[in-house]
Amino acid sequence: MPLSDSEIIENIRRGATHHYARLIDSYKEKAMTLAVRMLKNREDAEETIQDAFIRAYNALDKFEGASKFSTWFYRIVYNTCLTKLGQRRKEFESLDYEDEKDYGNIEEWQSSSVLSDLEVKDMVIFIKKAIDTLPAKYGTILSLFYFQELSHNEICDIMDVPVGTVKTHLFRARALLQERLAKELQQETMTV
Amino acid sequence: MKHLTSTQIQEYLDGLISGLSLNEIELHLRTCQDCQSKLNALKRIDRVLHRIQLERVSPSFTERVMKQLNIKESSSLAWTIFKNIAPLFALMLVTGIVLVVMYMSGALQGEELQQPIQQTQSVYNGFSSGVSSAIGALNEWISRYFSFAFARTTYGTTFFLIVFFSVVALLDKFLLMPMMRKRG
Repeated sequence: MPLSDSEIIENIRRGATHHYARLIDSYKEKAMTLAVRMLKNREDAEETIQDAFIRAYNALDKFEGASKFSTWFYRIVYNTCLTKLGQRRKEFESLDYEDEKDYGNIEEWQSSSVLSDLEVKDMVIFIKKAIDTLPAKYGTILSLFYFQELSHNEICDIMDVPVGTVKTHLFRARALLQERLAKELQQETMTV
Repeated sequence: MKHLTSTQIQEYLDGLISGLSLNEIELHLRTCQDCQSKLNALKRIDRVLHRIQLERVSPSFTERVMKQLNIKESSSLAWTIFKNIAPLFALMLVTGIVLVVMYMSGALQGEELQQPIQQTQSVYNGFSSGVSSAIGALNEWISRYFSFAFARTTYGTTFFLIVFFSVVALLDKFLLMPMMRKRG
């Protein structure tokens, strides 16, 4: 039976440090997904999560187990990515969704019929493309919710924002995603 | 009838609504085609997002991080045993080669060396006869119980050896190593 995160951490604390490889294997792809969404560059993302794993290992004694290891670790990944963003961090954080034209008419997108004609497997391709075109902050919130499978409250802890902000960000990320997806599909049908 | 807001639909989808509000929303969704189609569109996106694969890292990623942290990854029990006994075998081999070279070059021919050589010879003889009888007993045991592998064809022997080492490797990987990991 596979060991739980807390059992692995307990083993590491007792000296079986090689068990850290198991934690790396469990979280590397999810961490990479988050970092790619935030940094929009694979090389930077891999370098950053490598740094995050090293930081997490060195801070493992400070992990008290009050929250899940995953939440604690993703917070490290998130903050390491923010540091990596450097000058671009302001741009990432200042995206306040005030400009409605950025994400279109929210009320209209949900009734769009273009999407209902598509097979799910085709939608996967289009949505992946559309996610790549989203501003980093929207991609990040989608990544935390769908790929890291975190709850709204866990996302609050990681991003250090109120739960209302998480809901709004997620809503607008989905709205923008659907809008981009519809555009992508229109372009596709025009070229065929 | 007043339609559901986009926020309500999304919160319903995310499971954030409970109690009376949940009943009201479900009732409305049963009767309002418009809101139902909005919910379905969101559900579709939701389902697809769950199916998108995670981003991959380079194959040597874990190894690289462990190396940077200066942590050695644990190896299998068979490899650990081999690593530990390998120096002993190497020492025996080197000693044997040195002795053979000395004997052949005549360095061990001197009279003063004859007595210790004879003593060594008798120890060696005792040891080799012990080993011979042990091998003989093993052979007898093998030919009694594993004659199917050794008495008939080379294929039988090869097959037996492959099965034997596969069983040892599987036991090592799935039984001994997990036990060792659990003990930390």
